[in-house]
Parts: sequence; structure tokens; C-alpha cells
Amino acid sequence: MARSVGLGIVLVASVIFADGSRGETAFERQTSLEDLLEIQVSSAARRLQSPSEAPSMVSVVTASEIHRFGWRSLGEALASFRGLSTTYDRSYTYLGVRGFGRPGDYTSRVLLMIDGHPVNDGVYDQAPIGPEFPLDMELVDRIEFVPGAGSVMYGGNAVLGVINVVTKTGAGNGRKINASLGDGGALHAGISAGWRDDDGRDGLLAYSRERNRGRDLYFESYEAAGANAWSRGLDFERNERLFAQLRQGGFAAALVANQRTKGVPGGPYGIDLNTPGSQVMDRRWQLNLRYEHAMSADTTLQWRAHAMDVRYNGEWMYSGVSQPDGMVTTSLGGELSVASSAIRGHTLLAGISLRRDGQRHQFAASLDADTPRRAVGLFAQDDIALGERVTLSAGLRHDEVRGIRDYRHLSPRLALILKPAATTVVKLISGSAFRPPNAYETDYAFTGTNAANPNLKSEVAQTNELGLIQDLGTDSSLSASLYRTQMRDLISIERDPATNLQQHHNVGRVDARGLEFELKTRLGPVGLRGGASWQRVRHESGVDLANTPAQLAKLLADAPVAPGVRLGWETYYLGARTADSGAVATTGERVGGSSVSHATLSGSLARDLEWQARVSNVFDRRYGNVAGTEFSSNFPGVQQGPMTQVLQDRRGLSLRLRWAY
Amino acid sequence: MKQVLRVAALMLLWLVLGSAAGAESSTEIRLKASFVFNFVQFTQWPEQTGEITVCSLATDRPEAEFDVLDELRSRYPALVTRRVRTTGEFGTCHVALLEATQAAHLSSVLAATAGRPVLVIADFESGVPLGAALGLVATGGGRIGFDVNLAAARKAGLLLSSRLLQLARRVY
Repeated sequence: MARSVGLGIVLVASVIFADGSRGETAFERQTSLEDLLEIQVSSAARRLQSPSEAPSMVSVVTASEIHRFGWRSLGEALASFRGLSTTYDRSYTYLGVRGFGRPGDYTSRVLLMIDGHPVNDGVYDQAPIGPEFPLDMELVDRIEFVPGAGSVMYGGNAVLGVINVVTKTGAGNGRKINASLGDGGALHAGISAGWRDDDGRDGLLAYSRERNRGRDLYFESYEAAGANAWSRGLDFERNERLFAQLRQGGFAAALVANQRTKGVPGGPYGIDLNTPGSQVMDRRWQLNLRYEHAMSADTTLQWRAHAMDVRYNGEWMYSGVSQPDGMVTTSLGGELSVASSAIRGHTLLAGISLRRDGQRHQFAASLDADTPRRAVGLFAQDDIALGERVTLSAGLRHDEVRGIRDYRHLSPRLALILKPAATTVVKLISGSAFRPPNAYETDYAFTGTNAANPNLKSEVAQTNELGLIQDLGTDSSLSASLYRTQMRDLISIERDPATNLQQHHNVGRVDARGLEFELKTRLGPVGLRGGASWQRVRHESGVDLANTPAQLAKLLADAPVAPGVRLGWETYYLGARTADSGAVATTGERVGGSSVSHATLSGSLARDLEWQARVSNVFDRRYGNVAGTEFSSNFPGVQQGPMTQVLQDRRGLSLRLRWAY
Repeated sequence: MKQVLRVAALMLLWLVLGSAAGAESSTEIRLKASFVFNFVQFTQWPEQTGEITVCSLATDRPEAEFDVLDELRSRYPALVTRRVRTTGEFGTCHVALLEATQAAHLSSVLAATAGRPVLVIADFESGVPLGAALGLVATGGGRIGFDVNLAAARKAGLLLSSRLLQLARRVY
């Protein structure tokens, strides 16, 4: 009884206080155009939105937040999103979506895009979210994340969610030079020139380079009398990025290129713990083209194309001798779609998408595989307005993926969007998504350690979600979501005890459930964003998946702390999870929860000169991220025990300058 | 079961109360009106008279609905606002404002204002590429921006400040 009364009070209060329509909004008569462009009208209160927004619980982070919190890599920005967490093994960064993020899965279940063009490569289907992401964060206008089944619009790969990184225009970027200095000998320098001429032609050119000597790292699991437990000089990183873009009207062309080299400390895959030379190098060249044409006042045609060349080269030192491996993948793709609101009450979208991975070449001492892949997708979606307060969104996509095996899937999605009040949106979403196995899962073989498996089936996932967006008045909103994803035929790498070879298998069903909240508000001059989520991802054997945090909590605050100086504060709590046991049906060792905080101070030295000081891991916490079992390959042996975690960086300081020239 | 019924009853109460809490939030309308006001500030007409007339079509809208023109009228008294009955009358206005629901009238508005110094502002995405000089667009994350059609502005004899050009999302 008390609970119902309590609930009743909360509901009535939210209605009374939710009338954010009059008064205290952020703009007055004197507000400048620049400020108007930054004002965000909450989902509940707005009418103007893109067709992809309506049937989803989208989260957005803008350039001003990226700057305020000093985020240098995409991973740092993604860690602040509702439902997301990152795992770093000191080679690559992986993304956990609503608790789903097994070590070493290369984030293949998330589609990553730049301005709507796919970034995932043809061999690993990897979403490169760490410093390996090809765009410098200085060039990012906003990052959009849509959780759930994205195959209805984007095809295979988009099982857990879709991330779109939108770039700035030349006019929006202006001319900048930025430089930063951090401990561990970290240097970063970048220059960008953006312009828009009197005829409206917009261009942006940017180049940046960074290098980090990295620290010498101690690995407890190698500790033994007289033995070496250090990886010295192996945590280095070098990065180079190039970006060029031209825009005019509805046309845009962009060149994205990057090369990143990272040393490999910690002895994964049985390599020497301390022999210099172990490193991974990733290089990309990508060309993106798009054109939007208004056919009539209510119908628009959109065309997109991409061409990418992604290469990886690894050097692995075994007893002082290098064992190289690598991959080369080239991909060509395009999409043609039509969006129309010609029929009253309907917003229609239909299109065709093609992608050809002409080369998916993987090579190593005993490996030389190259299997091309072709994919065609046909999709359609209709958002139907059933009255003022109800919208029904129905979408369907048919995909055909052809390689050495053929994969086919029909991905439907249904969503009911209700607006019971002017400040409340309720969304009921149900969708199906799939992921065909990638070349690494089907083709990778290595004598004595790995066996290929061309007979893998696609993963198929059904996601059901109940979402709520409540506008609470001035710049305040609450988002909540209750969801369940049921996946079958999860692909996982397992060790066959008979042959002792690692091989990818379809390992059965997985049930992921969770509840997440996020509150955004402003208390005077202080901006706050806080969130908490509870999740559980369980395999049919009753074992919880490795690296799924039971809880996640985030708090981000930004406030002026002195005249002209702003502070951006972040605190992240990562709850208890289990380590990787090597087999999905075997419980891993429990890893306790940990929290980490970062602080960024920003100010101006002169009109066009800004400075920034970022202290990462403010409280100098000693914490780790779950490591894949490849970090225990030297056990038993030179390793004294398994390594279930890779320790993350301790407190660090970085100083930056940005000059608008 | 009783618990479920109680919760359902409360939700129903909430829905009913919710609908009484007022029509569509006008945050978006206020924001759009601010944009329109700024557009007027940064445009130069060939014969700069005292007051700028902003016109909107009277058809296709329920009378009670508060829209951008109403907001302009209440917040910016320096502007003269008028509702016109036919698209032909737009020729006598400085600014022709087309709401999102009036997209179908774009071509007749453009025909009526051809060669005349009328700033056509469209509150729908496809307005600008089809010939409106300025248009409001969604720029992601709940933000609103605008596109510019330079050729259309030039043909109408209007001079748009370079500030508008630089801040636009797209320039056609």
C-alpha cells in the first residue's frame, strides 16, 4: 500500500513539475546564433527529429562535452555513455554494451560509423574505439549511440548497438593548432584548417601525431625469485591521423587515414614478457562519399559510398625471434535510400545497401587465407502517427551475406512510441538482429594453437526494451530503460581439450537483462550527468559471461571554479565481474568492483589561446580490466599464476594548449 | 493482482493528468522564433524600410495552436507579423515563413515571391535545397541548426551576412 502511494506521489509530482514549457529556458532575446545552435531540446519536447531517432533510446555527447572533459580518444568519451564500459588490455580497447563485452571479442557486435559510413573492417568486423580510432577527437561534432538491435537499418554487425561519430564542418572547426604534453613522455600535436568560402564551399584539413613512450610495467603473475616480471619499454604508442573533407550543399567527400603502432606488454599469447619488438600496427585509408538530394518537399534521396583499405601487422617475439602475422582487407560499399513523408501520417524510409569485402587476407607463418565476402541488404521502415500521442514504427531488413558459406537473415523491428504528456515519452521496442561470423572466426588457423571453423552459424539476438524519457524542466531530463536481449548461437573461442587447439564455436544461448537510469540536470552553474545500471548476462549453462559488471555507475559534473576556469569531473564505478576462464560454461574468478575519477581544468590565456590540465585517475587507484586468457598462456611455465586482469594507468597529468590561429 | 491494479490505476491517472498539463511544450517554438529573429537581423533587404514584415500562411492550421509566428509576435514587437490567406500575398512581405506542415505550399510560395526581395524561411529539411533561402534543420542530439541557399538569396536580391554562411550546417 505504502509503495503504491509512494509511486503515486512520484507520478503526480513529475507531472506537476514537468511543465517545462514556459519561462526559465536558456535563451532570451539577446541570445546569439552560436548559443542557439547549442541548445538541446529534449526528446520529449521536440517534434523535429530524424527517422532513426524515433524508435530508439539514443544517447548523444557533443563537442563541448568532449572538450570540457578533456577526452582524447573515442573510448574515453564512450565510457561516459549510458550502458557502455570500456576494457583495455594495453593493446586495444574493447567496448562493453549493457554488460556484454567479452575479452578479446574485438567489439564486433557494435557497428561503428563516421558520418554514417561504416568503419568496421572486413576481417575482424572490429569497431576500433581506443586511440586506434581513425579520427582525432578535435574534429568530432557529436557522438550518437543507439543501443539494441540495429540490423533493421544496418544489417549484420549491429547486434548490440550502433555508434555514429559525426564530424565538424570546416566552418565549425576553424583553424586550430593543439599540443599536449603528458607523463610517460606523451606528446601530441595537431593542426587543422577549416574554411567556408563566399560560395558556401566548405573544407577541412587536419593532421595530428602523437607518441607515448609509456611506462615500464610490472606483472605480478610473473613474480618469482630471480625472475623478471617487468615489461620494459613495451607500452609505447605512436599514432598519426589525417583527415580531409569537402562539402557543398548536400554533397560531402572525406578522406580518413590513420596509422597506429602499439607495443605489447604483459606477454599475451605466450610471447616473451620483456623482449623488445612485440608490437601491433594498424593502418587505414578510407574514402567516404555521400549525397543528399531533395526530390520534392517531402521526399529526399540519399546516396552513400565508402572504400576502405585496412591493414594490420603484428610482430610477436618468441624466445627472441619475431613471429609476424598480419591482415589486409579492402572493402567497397554503398547505399541508396529514400525518405518520404508524402503520405499523411507516415514517415517512410526504404533502401538498398551493398558491401563487398574483396580481400580478407590473413597471414602468418602457417596461415594464408583470403576469402572475399559480399553482402546485400534491403530495408524499409515506416513511422506511423496514430493520433497526436502515439507513433508506431515498423521496420524490416533482409540481408544476404555470401562468402565460403552463405548467411541470410530477416531483421524486423517494431516500436511503439507514446507521449502521454508533453514532457514524457515512453518507448516499447522489440527487434531482431544478427551477426554472421567474421573471417577471423572462420578462417584463422595456426599450427599448434588455432584451428579454423568454416561451419559457424550466425549469432541471432532478439532485444526487447521499455524506455522512458521524462523532461523535468530547465535542462533536466531523466532517461530509464529496462531491457532484455536473448541471443542464440553465441560465437566464442574455446580450447578443445583433446587437441589443445583454440577454435571458434557456436556455444549456445545467452540471456542479457538490465535496467539503466540516467539523469541530466543543471544546479545553478553546475551541469550534472549521472547514471546507474544493473545488468546480468547469463549463458544457458547458468554461468555468467566474463567481464560483465553487475553494476555500473557514472557521475559527470562540470562547473566554473574560478573566473574563466572550468572544471570537468568524472567518476566511474565498475562493479564486480568474473574473469575469463577460457570456456563460456566455466565460471571465471571473481574480480571486485573499482572506481576511477578524472578531473579536467580548462581556461584561456588569451582570446585565442586555451589551456587545459587533465589529471586522470585522480585518486591514484590501482585497478585492472579483465584480460583474455591469452594473458595466461605462459602459465604454467615462466608465469607463476594466471593473469586475470591487466592493470590500468595510475594517476597521470597532461597539459594542453589550443591556439585558434 | 491488487497491486497491479493499483499501479495501473495510478498510471491511468497520470496519463489523464498529463494530457491536462498543457499542449506541446513550446521550448522548440521559442528556439525557432529566436532563430527567425536572428535571420532577420543578419539579412539585408535592398530597400531597408523601418519595420520588417514576417508573414505566415493562415491555412492548414488549427486556430488554437500556438506557432512560431505567435511567438514572434509576443516576443519581438519590432517585427510586424501577418497571417496571409493565399501564397500570392507573400509578395508583399519581407519574410515568408513556412511551417513544417506547410511543405506542400513551398513551390507556390517560391513562384509568388520569385524575383522579389522576400526571405523565404522553411521549417522543414528539404526546403532549402528546393529553393528557400533559409531553413531550420535538426542537427542531432535535440539541437536545431539551419541551412542556407545562397543562389536563392542572391536571386531575391537579399544580402546574407557572412556570419549566417559560416554558422550554417550546409550551404547550397
